[in-house]
Amino acid sequence: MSAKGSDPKRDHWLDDPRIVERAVRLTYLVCGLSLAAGLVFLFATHAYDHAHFGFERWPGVPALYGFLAFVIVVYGGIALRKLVSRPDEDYYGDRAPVDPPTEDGLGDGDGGGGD
Amino acid sequence: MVDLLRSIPPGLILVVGALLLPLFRRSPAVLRALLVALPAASYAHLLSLPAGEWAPWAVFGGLQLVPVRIDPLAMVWGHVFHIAALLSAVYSLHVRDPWRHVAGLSYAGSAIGAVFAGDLLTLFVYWELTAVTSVFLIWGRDELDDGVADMWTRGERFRSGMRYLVIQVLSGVVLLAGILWRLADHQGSGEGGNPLYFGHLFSGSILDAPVATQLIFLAFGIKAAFPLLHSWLQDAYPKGTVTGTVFLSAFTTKMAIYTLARGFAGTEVLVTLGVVMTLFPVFFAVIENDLRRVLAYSLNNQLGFMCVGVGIGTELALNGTAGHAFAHILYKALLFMSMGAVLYRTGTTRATELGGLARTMPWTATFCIVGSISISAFPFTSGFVTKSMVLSAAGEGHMTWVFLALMFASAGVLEHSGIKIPFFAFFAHDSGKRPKEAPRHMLVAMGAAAAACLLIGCAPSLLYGLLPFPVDYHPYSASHVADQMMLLSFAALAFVVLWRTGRYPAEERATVLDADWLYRRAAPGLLRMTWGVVGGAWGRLLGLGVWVVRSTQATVYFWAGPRGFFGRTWTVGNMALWSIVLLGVYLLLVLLWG
Repeated sequence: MSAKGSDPKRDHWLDDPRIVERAVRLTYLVCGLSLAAGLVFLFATHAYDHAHFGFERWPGVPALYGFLAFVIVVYGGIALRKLVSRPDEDYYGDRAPVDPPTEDGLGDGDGGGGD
Repeated sequence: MVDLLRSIPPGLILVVGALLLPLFRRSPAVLRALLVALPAASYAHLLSLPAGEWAPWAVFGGLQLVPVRIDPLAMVWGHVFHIAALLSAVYSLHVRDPWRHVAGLSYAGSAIGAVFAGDLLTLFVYWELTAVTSVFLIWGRDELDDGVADMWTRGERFRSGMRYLVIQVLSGVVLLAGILWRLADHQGSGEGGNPLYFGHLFSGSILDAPVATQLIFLAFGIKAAFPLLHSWLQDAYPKGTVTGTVFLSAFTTKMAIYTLARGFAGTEVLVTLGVVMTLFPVFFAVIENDLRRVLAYSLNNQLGFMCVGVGIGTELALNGTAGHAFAHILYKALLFMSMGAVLYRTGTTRATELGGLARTMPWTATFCIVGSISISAFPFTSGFVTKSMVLSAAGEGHMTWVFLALMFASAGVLEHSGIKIPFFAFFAHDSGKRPKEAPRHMLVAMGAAAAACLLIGCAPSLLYGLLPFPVDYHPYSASHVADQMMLLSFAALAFVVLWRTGRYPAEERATVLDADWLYRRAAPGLLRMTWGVVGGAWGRLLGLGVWVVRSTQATVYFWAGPRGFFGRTWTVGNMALWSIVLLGVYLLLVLLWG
């Protein structure tokens, strides 16, 4: 069931603590590049001449909108959780006991599992 | 022979062919070969059929059925439904129970039949057939069952499937009611033409439509998961079998979108409904722990984009709807396949129990990420070249709020499908689970779907060539690419900020209540309360009646019973005395006031 090596938790690239920092830096880079590209296209080309709405010609609007929308979605979800989330996973009381997965389901054979 | 083949309606090869599969129960190799060959044969058959309508079949009462109509709009769905059936069949190759394949392929065949139905009655037949066949994808014995359990002992899936079946069949009943009402209206008005013909039914304000048309619209809306009619989707799809949910994700809802595009293009309320559909699921998806249920919310959100396109109703918008349905079926199937593989290998899709699976399931993780970036509409993926058509149609119509709402929803899509699904399953914290990579046939199906997502994104003309109207749209303009990258990258930046500052909500094991609460808890509770009030009032009324009768009886008994005042045997002397007293009183009264 385990990957190669005696302790896959240490061996895998995902366990390198620098990976998170690299991913974050990549996000910053993509943000910077897309914003720069947007500003260049806006001020140095005619790319936005055919925009449907005036606000599409405001610099950096999609960036700000994307950031704010994401934050609103997350905080909206947190507020919604208080309203509609119940700690009981079987709130409606119709859950049967869960059968343990079989060897077929978790087993070795590719395509040999299941029914 | 060619004429015989051309007399077979599209999809029927799958429906009838699927019924033959149990004959090969003891020959797994033949079963697997047929499982892949049937969708391929059905697709080849469809491609061999000439465009146009079949000659009407006269049936009872002079009504005419048009069992098959092959035109560009239906063909978009015909292509993608066959591709989805083929991918789902490859994904299901490990399943040995032939009845599961019967359900999957006949369901796919029914949906294909529905999109090529030229009249409403034929559509109704296929409409109900999709309901009856697909419920077995929820009830079917799961790969995770231990071989002893069957559908009747797994209460949760059974009850969920039953609710699904009731709602799906109800949709068909409403459709039939609409058809019959339409026939009655037609006979009453004495108009010519075929009232059963399924062409464009209505555009404008649905409130101005005849009742028959409103009923048909409602029937389509139930299967298209309109707001408040949607919760069957989030209830049933996550409880389907590993392979069943992949089938389910492709057909029912997109069949409904097709019927809306066919019958209700330009119906204004679809824009509002679509916007609501794009928005509300994104908030639910944030707090949902079951990743297959997150995908069900995501599916609902994507249907919203398609509804908006149908509601706008222009050629660009309808092309956008058709193209987005095509792209969506592929990347949504891919995402459900990847979560199915996780479920198959780990036994769960709860985010609280997953994390770090990319260590041992790198291919599944990679394909899942392709699905995630496609649904998020990153450039060079299928979502980018199709969703933008709907947005552009809203822009051309100067629908400012619709445009802004769809942009907002796009950031929401990135949150739940772009980040949450792959991040919590394959990265985030290490759950300690080290499952094997998905089986080869699952990887093949996922790989093919992922390749299709990227191919459409990189060469959109391949898809645009299939769309119902000529396409004069160029998705890769500098402004569009820059705007989309800004929107998505800064939304991702918001995730980074929230995650690193500990403000991103942790997943919790919980039940997230949705509109189904209304009929699973509120309605039964209201009935119980009503019954309690009515029963209580009735009991009190009965008690009062009994008390009145008993009190009267006791009073009568007291006065006139054996020992009562009036029941005694009076002496003549007593009688005379009381007579004198009464006469004396009477005399006194006369003297005083007379």
